Amino acid sequence: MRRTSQQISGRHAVSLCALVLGSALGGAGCGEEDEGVASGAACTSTREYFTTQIYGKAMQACIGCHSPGGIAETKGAKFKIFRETWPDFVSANLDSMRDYAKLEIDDVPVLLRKPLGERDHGGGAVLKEDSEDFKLLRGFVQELRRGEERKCDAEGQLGVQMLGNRATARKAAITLAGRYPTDEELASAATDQGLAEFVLKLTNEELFYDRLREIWNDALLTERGVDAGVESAYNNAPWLHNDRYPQYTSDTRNWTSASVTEEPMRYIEFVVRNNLPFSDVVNGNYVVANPFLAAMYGLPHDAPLIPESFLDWRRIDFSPVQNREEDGAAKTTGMPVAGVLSTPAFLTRWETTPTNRGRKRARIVLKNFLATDIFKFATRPVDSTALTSIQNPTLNSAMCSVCHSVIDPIAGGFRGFGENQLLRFNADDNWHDEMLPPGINGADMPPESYGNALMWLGAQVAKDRRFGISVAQVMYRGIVGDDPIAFPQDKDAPDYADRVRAYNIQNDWFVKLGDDFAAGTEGATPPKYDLRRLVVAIVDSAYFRAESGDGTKDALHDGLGQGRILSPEMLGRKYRATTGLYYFGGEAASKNERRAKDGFLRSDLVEDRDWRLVYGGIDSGDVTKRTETMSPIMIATSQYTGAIVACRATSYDFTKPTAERRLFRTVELTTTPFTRANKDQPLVAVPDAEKKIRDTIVHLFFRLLGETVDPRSEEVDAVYGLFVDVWRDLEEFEVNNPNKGGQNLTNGRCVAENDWDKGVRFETRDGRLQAVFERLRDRPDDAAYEPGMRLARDENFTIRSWQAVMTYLLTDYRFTHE
Amino acid sequence: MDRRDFVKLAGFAGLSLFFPTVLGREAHADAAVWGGPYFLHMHAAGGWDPTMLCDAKVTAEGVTPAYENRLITEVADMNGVVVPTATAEGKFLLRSNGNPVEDPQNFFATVGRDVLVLNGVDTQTNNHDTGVQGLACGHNDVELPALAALFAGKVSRQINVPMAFLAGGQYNRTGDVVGISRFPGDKVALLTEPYKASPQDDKALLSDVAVRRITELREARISRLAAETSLPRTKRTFNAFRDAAKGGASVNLLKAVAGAPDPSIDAFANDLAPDTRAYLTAPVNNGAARFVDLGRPLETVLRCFQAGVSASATFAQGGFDTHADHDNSQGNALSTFLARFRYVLLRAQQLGLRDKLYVMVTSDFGRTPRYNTGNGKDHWNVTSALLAGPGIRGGRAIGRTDEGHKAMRVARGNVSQVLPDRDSSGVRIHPAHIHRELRRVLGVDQTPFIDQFPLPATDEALPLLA
Repeated sequence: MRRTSQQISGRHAVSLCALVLGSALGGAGCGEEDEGVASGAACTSTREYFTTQIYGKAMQACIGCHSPGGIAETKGAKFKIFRETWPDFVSANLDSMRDYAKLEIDDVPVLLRKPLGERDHGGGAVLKEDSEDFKLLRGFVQELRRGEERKCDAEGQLGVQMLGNRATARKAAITLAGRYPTDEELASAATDQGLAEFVLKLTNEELFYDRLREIWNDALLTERGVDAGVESAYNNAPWLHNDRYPQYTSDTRNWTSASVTEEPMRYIEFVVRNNLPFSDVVNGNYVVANPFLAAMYGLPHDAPLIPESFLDWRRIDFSPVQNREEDGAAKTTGMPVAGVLSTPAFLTRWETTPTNRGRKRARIVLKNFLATDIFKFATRPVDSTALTSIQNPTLNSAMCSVCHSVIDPIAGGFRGFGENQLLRFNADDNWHDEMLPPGINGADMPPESYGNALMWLGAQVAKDRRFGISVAQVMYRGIVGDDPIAFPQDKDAPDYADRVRAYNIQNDWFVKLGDDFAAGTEGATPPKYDLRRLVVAIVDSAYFRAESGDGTKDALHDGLGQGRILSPEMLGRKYRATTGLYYFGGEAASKNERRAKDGFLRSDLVEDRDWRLVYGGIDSGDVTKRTETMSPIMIATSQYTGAIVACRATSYDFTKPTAERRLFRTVELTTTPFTRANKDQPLVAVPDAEKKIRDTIVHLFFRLLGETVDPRSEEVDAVYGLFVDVWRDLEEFEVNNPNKGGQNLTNGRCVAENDWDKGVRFETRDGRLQAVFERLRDRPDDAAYEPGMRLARDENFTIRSWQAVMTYLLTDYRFTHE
Repeated sequence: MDRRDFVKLAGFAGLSLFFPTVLGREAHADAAVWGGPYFLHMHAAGGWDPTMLCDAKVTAEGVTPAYENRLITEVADMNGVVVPTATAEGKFLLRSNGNPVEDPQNFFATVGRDVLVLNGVDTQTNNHDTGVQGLACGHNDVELPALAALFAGKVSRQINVPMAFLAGGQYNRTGDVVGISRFPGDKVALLTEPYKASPQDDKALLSDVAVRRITELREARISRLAAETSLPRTKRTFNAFRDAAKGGASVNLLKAVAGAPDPSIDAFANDLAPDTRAYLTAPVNNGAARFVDLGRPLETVLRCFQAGVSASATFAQGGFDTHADHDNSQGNALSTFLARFRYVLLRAQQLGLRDKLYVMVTSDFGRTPRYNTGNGKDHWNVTSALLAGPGIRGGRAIGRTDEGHKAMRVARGNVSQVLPDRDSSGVRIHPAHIHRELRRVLGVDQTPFIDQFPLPATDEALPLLA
């Protein structure tokens, strides 16, 4: 029935599996069989073998001590094992093992002597020579020493069918840019290059930036709300928040609060919008401010302090100025600027305390900009009660230092941002002698950078290979809707090998995405860290496009499939993208200058916090994780909102000339399935009407649900039956009850009287600011209906019949999921 | 409200979601509500200090005491539950901004006399996320479904409970054994009549025929889509959608829940600690008595239980991560949290739920024995947990900590016997032990899906609830 699929092959298989293959294109399939190496028909690459048999099995006993920061390192051991929390830990470990395997004594690799307890191994004997684990390790070390790398042809490894280009273009447009592609765009996306260009184009559109901010706020959660009182840390324009000053107004305070709150997300938007390298998000040594924020920072901005200036975010190449009195003397300090990291919203959202010492901030930097979840490091039991005799355990106990050796130096990057006054920067602040000095990845920060430590840290983060991977993962979460696949923990599970394979394929893909993102494209703008091209690559992947596959291979297909639940914001935009109208409860518009300049039309699913939370959204404070699957209340919500949109959008679409309609392109108001000569005559079918109605249903299936269906399919039969049943009921009522209102639209909300596409203006009427829309023309009595006229009657019963069809489709699984 | 009344109300309202026939007949409707037991997990978010509650201590001996308490000067042992009783200023009370809100001694002597205290619980972690996870699901390393989700999943396999799992806590992983629900607040009235834009509208948006036919078609459509799902993400979201679609009746019942009046403070007043009564019975800004206002988020949960629309719930209250000004800040958080627990126990009694309600009360971990330089207390892997429910023998404590608030062990065969930590024949109580026992008591260990979610094998069964 479905005709949109294409088998994963060629470009897609390679794009996904290139790193699994390594140089697979020249590879020779499976290597020779060695001791301890899996044999059989299925090929196992060196990387996969390492993950499942060596890391996941033979060397399990080694990981605890040999992890970076572990007890082995603290005792001077050179050999390191990187946990799966380390991005691309497979490559890191293979490099580490290859390197260490070269070291031998009496022709025996030290790597094989140590686990037996030889050569003063600090951990003693952890393997027996006749154990299976040791045999596995020996075989693998021998293979590494021979310089072999097994590479398998990964073609068809996943064996899934993908969405076709047209369906992919539709999904990308709806989920990324909140709109529906034009016919021309759908046609041009038929080629791979055309599709890529289309997706790139979407990333330049206004609503993409809304989505971009949502994606990054899901990660950084900075939109929790910051009060204008933070201005007191700068003391440049106290009237922004202090009502003792004559210029103070509560409006100014509110707009300043909003500006401070939105600063990090607007920074990110600014970077992408202006084609700057995305690394500026952590490394940009400039401020992005609207006039409210500029006033707070004491920086120049010539736009007036009025709500209409809120969206005027500009780059300002100066440091924020902090004024204060110290021992009776005025002191002015310039504050270091490092992208979003130095923004008040980031610093207050991830606050510090006298004992936390910036570690929370460091954890967020690690998680979102270095692809490292520090909480996954310390999986061993932590027993702080055993540490009371150890001085300064975070530094001196391996139990603690495994995390703290990573997180504490990064926390030191926030030195100068006081613990008690979160935003007050003091370049002379001392760091804590009992902590590791500021730095990153084992490299100390040069003392001359202590005065602007955060700028040094931001620059290091941007240079770190993990930065690209991390950005790719944040964007993946937003675009695909899932977390990256976690390394499987249950080694005894029957599908463990498949789970590891799925993890490896995806992990390798992330590494490639990150590397490509960092390397950039010569001659492009920006030359490196181009977020738009990263979006294109994610859309082009199986994680966005896989549609169907072998239903018995869930472990291998982890992370694949359609049906990502739309967030409330995305659902709100999808209504408009597909039908032309947002869901709104009361007025369609309220003046809100914080929103993009799209006429201030908006959906209550975006603007109304209660609706957002009911529909599984977040508030960045109390609720920080989106609901990933439907609940009964969410279904009720989508049914309620869908029914209202169907009522409004159906009649509204019919007010347009046929060629301009979004929904009903092959039918008119007068296209009825049956007719009768008079009330005493039976209904007879109208020639061609059924075909026209079915064609419209086919169009709606693709437009609303992304489904390509045949006009004679079971799905279309069902919907056609719905249309006819509703139509017959309405028609029969009118025949039996003439002039009893049977030809009116039942509910006044379904009457089309505003031209929503012409936007809105705001006028003060009766002392109240009101939204004003251009009205559709009145329809003279007894006149035939013409496009552009107000539509309040349903003489042919078709509007309400189509409304039923629309309600059915707008509440379908495939409408609320993409 | 009697469960049968809810069912009638639902039948009267007549409009549910995708499958309105679920409540169309009372015979069927009886099967659509859950009669218990119920499970509530209350979590003190941030890491509470049990030495101010049920494992109380005074400053230990010595120049550098192993444990330091600048507030509590006397404690009392109530069958192993050690409660603070006095400060230098007089009687110990848990205070919120100086106001008396709870009295631990009174709590464990009255409404909490059936509560089982587990002291010396070793969470094996000092980080929040791991602690939250470990206490909610029993495993620090693997993100198992929360116990509340597992129990709701079990119930959902018996009957179709519409909002089986009410998720209001910090950790709500489900492992796809059940869907998640959040209480929709003042949107309930809109959601109960989805084909009316507003309850005040005279006319619905669609004709009766349209509503009936749409409903019929959806059932068939869902069956067809089920046959087409093959990849994991599609299966996961589609199955949740299908399950949720069956839960439409809940929305009608929620209308009654949301519309129910506040309980009268008179029904609680005699069961409040005498020293807190005046403060807790006084009205707050919205006119409700303070104690009733404090209990409001849990009132919703209990009413959903009573209505039979939910089987389990998670709840979390923050404010416990007291790295600075510990004594005051911890008191603020702990006082309201304990008052809410009191509310749950009292209100459950009034609603006829007490003999069907299991409550697990936990926190991320404990607080360090000594103060830091900011008068705060930092993270400490030893903590306490509280359990209540039918068949759980309370009024006592299992487990103990030493004078430095280090965990002691319990004997494997006799958990009442406390052993020193150096005695390796004993066991430190871990969250996994608690979960293994609760899984057994709640019958979760008999579910067909439980094998997917094993607790750590290292923590064998410990008869805490035998």
